[in-house]
Amino acid sequence: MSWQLRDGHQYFYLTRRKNGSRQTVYFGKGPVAQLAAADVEAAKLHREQVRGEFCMTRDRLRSLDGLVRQVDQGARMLLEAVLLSEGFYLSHRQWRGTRRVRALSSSR
Amino acid sequence: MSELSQVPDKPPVLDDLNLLVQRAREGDESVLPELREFLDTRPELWQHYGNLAGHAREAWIRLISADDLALRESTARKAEDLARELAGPEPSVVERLLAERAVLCWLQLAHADFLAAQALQKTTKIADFWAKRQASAHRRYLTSLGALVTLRRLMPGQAGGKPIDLSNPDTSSKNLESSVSRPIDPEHQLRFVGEPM
Repeated sequence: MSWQLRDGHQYFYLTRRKNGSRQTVYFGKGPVAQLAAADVEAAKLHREQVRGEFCMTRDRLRSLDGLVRQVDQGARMLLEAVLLSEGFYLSHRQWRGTRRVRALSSSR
Repeated sequence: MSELSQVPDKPPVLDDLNLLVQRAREGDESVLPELREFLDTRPELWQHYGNLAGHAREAWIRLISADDLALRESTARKAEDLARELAGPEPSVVERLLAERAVLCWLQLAHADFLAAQALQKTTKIADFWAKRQASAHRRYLTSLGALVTLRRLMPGQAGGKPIDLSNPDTSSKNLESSVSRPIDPEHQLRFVGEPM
């Protein structure tokens, strides 16, 4: 709620949530109303600015996270390939190898 | 985005590797010699991920340091030191790649830590976003270190770094301490743009 037209005049109202219920505060049409309106407008602008900066950072991070994800997936796949090629196998998310395979790998 | 415009193209050998890994996962032992040969004779595979990791590292350092060239240089040196320390004295290609991945995760975590601390003064929604991001970056960093530990535990002969003796809790924790939880030297600590010295 903001400026409202009543009987041909603009009056400023501010609605806030207090203890779960809506509370409307009347500011009238004088200098106090102008100040309150300017304050509300400034707070709104600040929120928009913060949101804009946040969205910009998040979008930039998305591309950088994509690069990390690619390296992450590649490293995981190559580690898996190396361990599989040496005879290790994955069991219950743990890498295991027979005694022979372990002995061979450590002697290389 | 500029970060993505210079990303190296995916080499075609990756699809072949995927097929071989898939067969090996299904327990086909006949594919193992072929897989070994493939890994030994396809340097472009390792080069691709090496280039990608280098590119990603540079992009993250640019993001963290913005226009502060001194901070860029010190962050780059710190990342290089960490990569060298994690990879060990004579790293194999896979070890180097895993160390590089851990460095990337460390940069991501440092960035998330800083922004999560800053976001405490902002709205709950933004603070929640950075807190979640910080938690997932931390998990990813630990996973990347875990992969290095797995490699050194299973293949100590091939991994160039110091093998980790898991039977001795003293030495195994020292191995991690030396690279991860050592006290941070304030001279070399990562600093962000706008943060007081």
